[in-house]
Amino acid sequence: MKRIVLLAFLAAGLALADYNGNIGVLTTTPSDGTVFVVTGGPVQFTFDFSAEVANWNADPLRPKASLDGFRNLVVDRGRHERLFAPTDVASRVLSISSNVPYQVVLGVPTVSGSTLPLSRYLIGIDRDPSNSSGAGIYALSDLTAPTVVYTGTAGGTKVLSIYARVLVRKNDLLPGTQTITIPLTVVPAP
Amino acid sequence: MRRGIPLLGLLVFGLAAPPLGGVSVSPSRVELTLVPGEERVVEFTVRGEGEFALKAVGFRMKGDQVVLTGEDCSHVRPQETAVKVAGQRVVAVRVRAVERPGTTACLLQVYPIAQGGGVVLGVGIPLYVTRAGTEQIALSIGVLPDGRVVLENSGNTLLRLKGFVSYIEGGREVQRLSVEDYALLPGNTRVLSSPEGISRGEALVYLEGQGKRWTKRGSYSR
Repeated sequence: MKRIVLLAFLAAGLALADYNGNIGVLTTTPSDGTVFVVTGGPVQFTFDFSAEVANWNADPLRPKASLDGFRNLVVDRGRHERLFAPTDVASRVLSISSNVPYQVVLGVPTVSGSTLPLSRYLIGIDRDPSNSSGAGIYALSDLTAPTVVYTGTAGGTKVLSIYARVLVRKNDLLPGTQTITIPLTVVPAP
Repeated sequence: MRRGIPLLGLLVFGLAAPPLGGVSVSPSRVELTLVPGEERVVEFTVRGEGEFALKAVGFRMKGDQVVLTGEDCSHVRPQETAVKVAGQRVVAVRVRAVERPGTTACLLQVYPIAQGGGVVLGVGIPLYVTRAGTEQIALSIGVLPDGRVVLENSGNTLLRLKGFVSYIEGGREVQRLSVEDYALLPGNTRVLSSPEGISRGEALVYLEGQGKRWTKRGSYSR
């Protein structure tokens, strides 16, 4: 046991032998050849509620509908609320290639033209869009502090899917069009 | 070997040239140690097509995760706040010494200026500036009962650690966890996961960085 510990320290000492004692003035890491590629912006979703509002008024508590991505709506009778996203919204796809590990940091999103609280807006990152809960689904109200939504490893290309949907409750006042903008920053290994 | 070089070149070129709408930035990290009053110009290569904005914002680490603080980084000043890129362009960023002692961490954000004012998917390059002569280098190490190792930067200077954790059971090393290029910002605590296949023994931690080295021993039982 003692011998192993001694050997470990000896190895550590040898590892230090090439240390020159100076802190580098300028280090570009890992090297100048490092590249980092991101495509797919801007990440912006527009919700047009005009048609949905008409449906809502005509038939506020329809049975639960089948969910087809973001194209259909769901009515939950118990909670008197429904999820929907208009047909002109599906998802946005980002492609990230990197030869270093990285994180995708979600900034503070903004919504224009809305009277609904931020908690009603759900953003799904790289998850099944039909699943409105669980990991990878964030309410905008949770994003006031920036959040890491994805951690990637070096090499290859990662395609991230981002979805947006809105939780609308009975008696909500819905404007015609709302736009959600989501700032995303891809940060190489810090 | 001869085949390998062109292949590597192709791979690098493939990464270097972003597809339409993409942006690529090199290098992916910069660390500077500056004496008070010193200023440096750091050059970044931006590849892509279109107009890109450059802005520096503060960040910190919470565990393993980057957290944007929104803090102003006035010591990091791109010579142009917006650049048009057609293929490739070198962008100069002036960086001067910070007043604050220790290390200040910023992200240089490079993001496309979207038509119609929409925002934005960008790249944030970590840029660390340490004020020379003010460094307080300190690391706290703890071995948890399950074999994980807790590292806390209790100083004021970025630590970039390398070393290993050796797991010893019955007098012999059963696992070794290698630590490479492991960043620990001041005030940050990160946890090294323990490897599979350990049961009960002693962990020996050896780490080095910023000209110092640390060791720690602790028992674990799983």
